[in-house]
Amino acid sequence: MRTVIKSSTGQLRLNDKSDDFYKLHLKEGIRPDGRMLMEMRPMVLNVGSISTASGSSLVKVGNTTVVCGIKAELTEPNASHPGKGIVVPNVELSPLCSPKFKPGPPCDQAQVVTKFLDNLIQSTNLICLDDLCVENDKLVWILYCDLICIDYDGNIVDASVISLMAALQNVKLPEVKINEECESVEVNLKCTATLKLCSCPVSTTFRVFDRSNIIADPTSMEEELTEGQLTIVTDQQGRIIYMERPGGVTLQEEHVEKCMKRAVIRGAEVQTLYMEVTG
Amino acid sequence: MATDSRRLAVPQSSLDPKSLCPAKVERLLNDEEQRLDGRYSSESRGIYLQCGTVSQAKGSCYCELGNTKVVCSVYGPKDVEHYEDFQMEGKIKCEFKYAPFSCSKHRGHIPDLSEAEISDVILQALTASVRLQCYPKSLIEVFIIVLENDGSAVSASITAASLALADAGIEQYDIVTSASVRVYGNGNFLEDPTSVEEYRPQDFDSESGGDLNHGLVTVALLPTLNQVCAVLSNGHLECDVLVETIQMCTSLAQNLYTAARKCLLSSVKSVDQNNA
Amino acid sequence: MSRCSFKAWDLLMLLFVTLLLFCFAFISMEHILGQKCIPGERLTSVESCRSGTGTYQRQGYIFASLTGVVCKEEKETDLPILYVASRHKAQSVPEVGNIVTCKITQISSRFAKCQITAVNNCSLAHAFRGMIRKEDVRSTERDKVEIFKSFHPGDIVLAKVLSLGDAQWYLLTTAENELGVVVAQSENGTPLTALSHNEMQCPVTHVKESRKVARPQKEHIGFPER
Repeated sequence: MRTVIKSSTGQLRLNDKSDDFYKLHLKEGIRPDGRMLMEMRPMVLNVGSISTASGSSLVKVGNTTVVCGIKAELTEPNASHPGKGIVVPNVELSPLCSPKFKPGPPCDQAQVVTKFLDNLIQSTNLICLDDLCVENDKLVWILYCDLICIDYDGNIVDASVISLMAALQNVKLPEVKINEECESVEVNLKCTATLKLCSCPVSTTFRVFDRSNIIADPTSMEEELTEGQLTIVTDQQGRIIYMERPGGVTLQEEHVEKCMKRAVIRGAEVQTLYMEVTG
Repeated sequence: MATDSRRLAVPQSSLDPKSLCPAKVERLLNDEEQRLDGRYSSESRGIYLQCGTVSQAKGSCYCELGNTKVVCSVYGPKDVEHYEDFQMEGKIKCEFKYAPFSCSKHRGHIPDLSEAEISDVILQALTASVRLQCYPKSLIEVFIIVLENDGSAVSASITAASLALADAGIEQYDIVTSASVRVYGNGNFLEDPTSVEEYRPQDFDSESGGDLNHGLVTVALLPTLNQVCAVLSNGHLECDVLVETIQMCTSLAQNLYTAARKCLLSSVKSVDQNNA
Repeated sequence: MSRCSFKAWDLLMLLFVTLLLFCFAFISMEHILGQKCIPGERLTSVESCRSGTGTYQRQGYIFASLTGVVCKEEKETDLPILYVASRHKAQSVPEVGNIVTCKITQISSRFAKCQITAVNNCSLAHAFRGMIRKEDVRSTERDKVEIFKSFHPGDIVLAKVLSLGDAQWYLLTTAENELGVVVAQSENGTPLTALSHNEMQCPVTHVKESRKVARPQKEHIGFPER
């Protein structure tokens, strides 16, 4: 029973009646937007539309729209990893995309999604960082992966992963050499190479409603009504490579198995989409 | 660069590879009076406008001017958060931001001074057109992000912001359209400049060669009322050249009215079809 | 003789031109009704219509200030009102005299603070803050009012906007029979049923609670079928 009203954002908070409204729908096995519990929203993917970025993509998962732009620049490597390039993801949830977000430093949700992407890149060895090295201990590539959410209607995690992967596949790096005699850097813009990606992950997010119902691909309204979250990441061979379960209500074992099976099917669908778009 | 504790750590500085082998642009106009992208000096790029692109916003608009891509969303009228913001008339807040990947060099996430200046210019242009007395004690928020900057980002943003306000049902005296012109030497006016053609102070010495007039002028106009509501001018311009450039920008902005009107009317039609 | 006829001819011409202009104005006015318009478009002159919501007057003409469809509202005694119907609801900001729906967020001994969620049956996208002072709760015995016996946090209340108030709060009043608590919950979460103008009862525990209850309008009162 919720009686406390939080009016800090000035936005209307859904009253208790929305819970009942949602429960009525779930009894029939359907959600207010007409989808089944495990059904995903239609997806649109477009790559390479931003010419100022080395690689870019635009993803729409239902109404949620994320634009990913990757800028490849040259810098000195970290002292602890002198032969490895650097990949810096960043997710921007600005007040432009939803009235839920306030202007200023990144909110908690943006920080969590950024860290999720960072963990995913590191734990799955997504990009071979040794390939990004130009000259050991002197010059490496740094990839700034900026994901800007233009329209927030839930499930930012899935949309971010898909747009990051599509943009990485679209990146073209020019050939860079260090001229030892004059100690200058020579860049050949005409000779470009794509990134070698060791893995092609796809994530699927589920939310738990009322401890017993699992819904896939939640909208913004559903995110407010549900409690727990489960994100499963699969690769191109259908194996589960990463799973994140940030606390919340307990989940039954059979629910987790159901989610894993659904995530594998979803992974295969999105992999075909990547193939079609990036060629 | 200020370190941001809420974002992943980045190195102090990094080099854009394109800056290491700059394609030196000697002249913006060749012998046949053609610009680098093939246009003539009095040719503008095609504009594409669409309202209602952000489903979560009260009103929104997407604008494409050649390769320049701008998204604007509007929220409000809402309650003012701070006591200092209280006025019997409404208040508009405008935030303009370049996406980190929108320019040739990677931009930081924290808004810098140039973005704050542009936010101010856009705010000036919009304050002239919105009927703030209809919204006492309220705040209208306008957020603009430039996804790709290929010149004339400010003028595209102003047009997009005004259409987003109209899409949000905020009462305005008139919509605001905007255009830019680059002054290149004596008697050369490049309409709707691309990012290569935009004025940069460091290019001034190499281009001067005796000519005094180099600059960029952006004008925001209320087309039906034929009133100029904001002017932004950069560079070295003589008085009569500046006046001539402003008049040129005004007529360019007037020409945008048809496209803007068509965009707004098509959004009315699509809603009527939903209601029918 | 010729001078007289000249004068008559003049008058006849004048009458004809006025009639023509009137017809023209009438036709052009009918022409814009039902048409879509954008802010800044000139609609008609102030002589034929008055300006309503979504329009403004300038230099003797009426201009549109919203994107939408031009409509006219006929009035018996005065000029018709020309307004613009847009897809957004007409009311986005509470005005003095509007009936608003609000949810009580905080109570103290002197006032009850609330969030205004709807104005004249149009729900707002962003809630505004309102305040009902002790002396504005009811019209009789205004100084002997106890806020705790009139409202509880979480109650949905129908109120009227008294004034724009100060920086933070709109000033609201419930000092009418039709204004007051519409929906309330008891301590264990069940909705309370109204008994009288100052009492509500929980249907499960039968405990009576004091509230300043709104009188239901006649059209909403239904009698059980026998």
